[in-house]
Amino acid sequence: MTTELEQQLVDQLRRAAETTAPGSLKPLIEEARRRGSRIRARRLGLQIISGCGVAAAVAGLVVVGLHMNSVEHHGPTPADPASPLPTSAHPAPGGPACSAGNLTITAIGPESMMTEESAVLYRVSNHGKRTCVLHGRPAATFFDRTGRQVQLRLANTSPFMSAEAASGLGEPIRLGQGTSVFLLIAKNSCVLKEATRIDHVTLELPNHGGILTAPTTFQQRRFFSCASNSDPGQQYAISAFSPSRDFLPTGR
Amino acid sequence: MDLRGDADEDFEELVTARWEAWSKLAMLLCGNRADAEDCVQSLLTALYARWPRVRKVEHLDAYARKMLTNLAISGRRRRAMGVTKTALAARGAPVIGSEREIEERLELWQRVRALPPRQRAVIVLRYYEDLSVDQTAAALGCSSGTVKSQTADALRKLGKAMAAEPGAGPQTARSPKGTVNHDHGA
Repeated sequence: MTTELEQQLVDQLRRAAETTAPGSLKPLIEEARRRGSRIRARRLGLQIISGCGVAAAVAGLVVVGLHMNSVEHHGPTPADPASPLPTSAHPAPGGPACSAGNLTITAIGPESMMTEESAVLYRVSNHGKRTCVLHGRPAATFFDRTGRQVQLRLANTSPFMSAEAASGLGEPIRLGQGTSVFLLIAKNSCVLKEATRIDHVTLELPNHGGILTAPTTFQQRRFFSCASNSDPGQQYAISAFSPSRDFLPTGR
Repeated sequence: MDLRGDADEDFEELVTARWEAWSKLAMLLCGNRADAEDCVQSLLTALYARWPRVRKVEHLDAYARKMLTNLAISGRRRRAMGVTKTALAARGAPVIGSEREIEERLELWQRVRALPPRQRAVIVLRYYEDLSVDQTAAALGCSSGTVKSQTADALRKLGKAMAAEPGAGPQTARSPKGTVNHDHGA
């Protein structure tokens, strides 16, 4: 049943909309072309940088593999793309690596930097008694609320995350008692149909530091997996740990 | 990094066809002309930046509406698109005197403008765009339950404000009790 108030709403919204007197369309389109082209160029640049990084990593793996074969050892098992490894598997420089038992993780904000991308910003705090070191980024695995794993694709670029952060690289961070670092998980929105609501994420810390579990929702910002695996919305990016909460590329 | 030939023409064709509707929706979502222009410009920029992919989307209008709604709610997204009110100031949104008077006479619309952005978006999508609860939830990226509760809250506020307003129309002087809790479902 439609009430009088609702009818009045419909009527007044229509009349208010009719008062809009749009200006000229041409300058809007020209402006969109100018700004849109700049964004496309920047994104392409990031993809090239990322591509070079991947090529270098592949070349490195090939060299390591050849070396391992020559001394009759088994080579490393290729990483399962659905279960990415944390970056920085080397011993943390500058002190003991942080372990999950000494860390707490809290979602502190929805970061909606882009129409097609939503993100959750996390604060990771050291409540242990010792200073420890975090380096690189954790490996994320996503789950729905029944605890079933949800497969997403890790992308090493994000138009609205700096190239260094999105690639998972970063300087080692010494985390004193009671101090915090930040982490950003950004996911593209589904272009077509959303499928499963993602409930939480487990984060495997670098240097065998254990696993942190965190929610993937903040207020009304939520992640969904997409109905089609080829949907660009299946991609997510996860930053390296950062002392700053500002992950946007310089100049944005 | 301009788009080539067909793609660019497709973009211009879509924008020409939908621009007026988007401008009206943006005006309602944002509550004022300056922000509405800001939103439409950001929408066009975002569409252009992703056009090779976006043009293949089946329900492009729903997709654009979702983008526009999100842009209207979040000022940061507009800034991410490099569009600011300052940048738009030079273009100058035309405000026609008689239009302003008409706007001022629409008391309920003035109340809608005063709602928080998400509640205003829910009201506009439900009552102007005539979307179902589920469609509204999809456009806002939230659950159907949230849409229902936001609608109920907004209607309650509007009803209360209109009832308290001296000189409000007789139809709004009474309590909208019973109007706020029913399901606006599809």
